[in-house]
Amino acid sequence: MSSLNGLCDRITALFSEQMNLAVPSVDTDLFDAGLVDSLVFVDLLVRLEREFGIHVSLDELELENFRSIAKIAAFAASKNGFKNAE
Amino acid sequence: MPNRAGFSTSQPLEVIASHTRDRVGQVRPLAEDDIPRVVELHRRVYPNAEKISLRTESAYRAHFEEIFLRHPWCDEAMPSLVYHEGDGRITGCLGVMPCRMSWDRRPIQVATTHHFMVDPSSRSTLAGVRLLKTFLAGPQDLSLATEANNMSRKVWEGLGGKTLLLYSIRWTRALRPSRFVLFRLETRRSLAPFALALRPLGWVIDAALARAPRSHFQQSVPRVSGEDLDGETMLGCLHECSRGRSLCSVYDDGSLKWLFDILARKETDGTFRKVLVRNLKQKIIGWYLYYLNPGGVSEVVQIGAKDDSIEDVLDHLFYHAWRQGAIAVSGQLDPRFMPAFLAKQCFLHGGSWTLAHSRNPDLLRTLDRGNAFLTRLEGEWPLGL
Repeated sequence: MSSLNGLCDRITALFSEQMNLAVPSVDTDLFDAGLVDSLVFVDLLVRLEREFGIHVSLDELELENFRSIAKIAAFAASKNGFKNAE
Repeated sequence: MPNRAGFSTSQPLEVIASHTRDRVGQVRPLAEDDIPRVVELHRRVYPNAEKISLRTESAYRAHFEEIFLRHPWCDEAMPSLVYHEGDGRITGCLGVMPCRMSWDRRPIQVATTHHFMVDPSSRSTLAGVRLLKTFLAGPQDLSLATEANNMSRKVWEGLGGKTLLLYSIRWTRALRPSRFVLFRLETRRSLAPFALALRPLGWVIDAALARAPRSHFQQSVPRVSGEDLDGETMLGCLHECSRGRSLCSVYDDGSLKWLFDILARKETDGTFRKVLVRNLKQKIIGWYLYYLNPGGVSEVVQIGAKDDSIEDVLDHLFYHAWRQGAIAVSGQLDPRFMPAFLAKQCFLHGGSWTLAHSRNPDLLRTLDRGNAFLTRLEGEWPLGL
């Protein structure tokens, strides 16, 4: 659980420092809040691959996995090739 | 009740909706009674489109019905798509035009997108990603997008597609260079009055350049001849052309006739002309399809030629357009003919992007090599308003 919290912190920092998006909480619905549109979404995919080594193929791309920072963290942690080095 | 294209308007196909359904909206095949709402969406996304083209509401709808639902390649497995919100509004659309191509003499199924648009007020629904993801997951061997803007390109690449840089290059050949420069200046509000005032001088300079012996813009009667090109002859030409190409489209009488009809109806770019080029021995050496636009830039849809005849075909095209008043000719670069275009004083520049996606990396490598016969005729360009 603590590693998942740490991952949430890193993803929150990715949003704020690299994408200039302030996300209120790890459970904020990124789509409903209007924080993520199609362009931001694909940018997020690129940054997640760069930061955590996770590649999401078209076949496994489920938008629900990216609806909140908590969900992104859970998805990232479940992926093979995930880099969790601090 | 299934519509003309065979899709039910009440039950989305599970195989498509399962990837993208959420509590807000969903992607489903476009149905006939969606057309009016797609027209409205097009007006919202491109508010200037209607002013420059189809004058009547019925003509607008008829055009969309034709290109979305009544083209020769309709295929239930590769339908055009819409994204609709929970309240029934259509806020996204992605037209799909399937076609057959030959890749190293093997038949493959290709799908080209057109009219990919999302209502600006609905972009947080990720309608664009949802539509594109559904499209790219289809059964086609190769997905293509031409005339893509920067935004579409980013989304396409983000979902695993790539940009075909060689097929994204445009060429332009000024025929009346002074007037061409002035024409470009007239599009800038601050410079337009000066450009208009200089028009008479532009005429004089261009007339002198066309006669000057060593001028790159000298126009002389080409040594080859041209005649009107019919569909049957063009099919033969395409068949010949395909022998030296790793990838090219496969047409039949019906599909080529449909395309020619659509092209002939496009009023905004000039008069559609189809020209077959023969050498002095009356042997066919090439052809071109273009929009003659006297006083403006004539847009080329396709040029085909034998490798040793491309410069003669270009000479004929440039003379044909110049003689009838065009100030420049422009088109999409065929990478194989790049040396010829450069030799004929064409300048190369960017424009819109050509994008590709395939599960077969060898197919993408073929496209990267630049030997595919991929022209505006195969893309979205003929289908625009």
